[in-house]
Amino acid sequence: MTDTTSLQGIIRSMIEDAPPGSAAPLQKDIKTILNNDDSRKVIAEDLKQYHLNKNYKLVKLTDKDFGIISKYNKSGLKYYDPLLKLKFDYDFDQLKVIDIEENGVEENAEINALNEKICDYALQHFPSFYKGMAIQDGENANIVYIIIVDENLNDANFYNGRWQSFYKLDKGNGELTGEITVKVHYYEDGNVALNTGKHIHETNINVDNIVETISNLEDEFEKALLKNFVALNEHQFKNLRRQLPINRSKVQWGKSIRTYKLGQDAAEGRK
Amino acid sequence: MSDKAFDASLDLLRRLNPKKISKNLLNLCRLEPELAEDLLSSVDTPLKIQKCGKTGKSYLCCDYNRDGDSYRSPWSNQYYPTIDDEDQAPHPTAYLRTMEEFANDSFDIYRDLYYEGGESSVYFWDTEDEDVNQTGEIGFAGVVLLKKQIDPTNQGNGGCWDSIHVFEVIPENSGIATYKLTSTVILDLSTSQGMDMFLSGNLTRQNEKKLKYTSASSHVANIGSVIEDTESKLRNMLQEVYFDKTKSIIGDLRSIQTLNVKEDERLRQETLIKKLRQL
Repeated sequence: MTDTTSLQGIIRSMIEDAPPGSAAPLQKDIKTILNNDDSRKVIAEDLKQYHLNKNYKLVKLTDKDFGIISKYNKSGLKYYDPLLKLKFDYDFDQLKVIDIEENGVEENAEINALNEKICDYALQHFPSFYKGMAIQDGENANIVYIIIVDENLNDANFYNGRWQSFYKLDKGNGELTGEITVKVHYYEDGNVALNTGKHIHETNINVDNIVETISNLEDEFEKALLKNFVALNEHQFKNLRRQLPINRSKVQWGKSIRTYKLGQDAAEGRK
Repeated sequence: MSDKAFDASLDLLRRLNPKKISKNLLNLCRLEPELAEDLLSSVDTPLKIQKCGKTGKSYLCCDYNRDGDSYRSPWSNQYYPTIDDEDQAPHPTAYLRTMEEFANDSFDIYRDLYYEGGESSVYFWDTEDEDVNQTGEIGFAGVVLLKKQIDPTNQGNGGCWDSIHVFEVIPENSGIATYKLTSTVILDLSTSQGMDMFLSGNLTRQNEKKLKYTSASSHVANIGSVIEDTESKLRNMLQEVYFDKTKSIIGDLRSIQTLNVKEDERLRQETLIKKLRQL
């Protein structure tokens, strides 16, 4: 178990509970509360670990293209982009991309072809700021990772949303595992969050049918998610508090409110 | 500096996963213990239910009916777990307590009509030097709490609603009073149908209304109708934010229909080429 009461542990847990697009305000708030410059390093390191391992970070690499930061596309001290053939680093304190390098990224033909298919798929389904990429495992050539991240950040209207899917294909046994996670945050005069996700496990998958499989899995997930909204609205929400009392009229406040009680007692007395 | 730290803490709590608000509140108090008292009294968390030792009825707990680790029951006016110096702990003055009992009876009926279950508790406290009397000319303040839970079904469909309405009654001359209200609803919904889905959070609204009064008990009636209106409005906003807004944000994140971006681009280029040829 990780230590959750230490400074580092508390900051880590706050970072994990933070909604999409909130790294900058989060960092600023924690620094203000701790009032201590050393906290910068702790926050930066916690942010880095979070983005490498759980919440892959979408970053802007060129005027129109994004990249992803994850432990899977880390090579030496830098991250690389298999589509744009770029290497780059990220400053987790200043929250910006640094040291973009234009050479040194080479992929085999299979990964290149897969990346193009994912790029096409992402283009067809993700309207906002997004990136999809395929990465071959550094040690086991049978393992391929696919990561898709899409963000819709709209602080002007107090909402942010994020979609992330992660897949691991084992070409050796045709197993596909992974997880889709969706987070939405709405915070005008309140704080409302949707956190949802689903683990994936499929068999008989190869590099030829993987993108089609992902497309179907993600369609199904999204349809089921939208259906759950309807169910939560129709069942839970409506059963918590009525829009109007059963007699469809507002409450008669004041001394006469006791007549409701008399009516109730009379009704109970009849039973 | 401490003011800034307090504001930064509130900003964090406005962002961090609202489902874990109690944990995050505790963590902030650990980071900066000096802020603890102010934070605990100004951040709304899901209400705890406790049993009244004298009447056996359940009641709701918040910072306004707390003394140390004990909470005053609105049904018996006594603190539980029992405290040694019950007389020293805060209680409303005599006539205000009569009004508090009337308000508890009234909101108990309101709860039954709108919630068809759940719990309600109302707490009043004095705000002026002079004791509240039946004329209604002396102001006071209070909080109305409502809670309903739906236990998770076998598909994991659960839900919980907490309403916290803090108000102030400010009587003016000529039989008019101002009612200032700050209302928060904490709504938590979840399902494990096909996926783990948590839809949770809180919305807060402030409202102020001037109404006629003839006696102290007409304040209770006025508070009732102001809260009834505000809660209905909040319910509509929750419906809009939780269901319509969140769903549309998901639609903007990923489209089930293919976007045909390439096709659009090809068509745009074709038109451009045609236009160039016409030049």
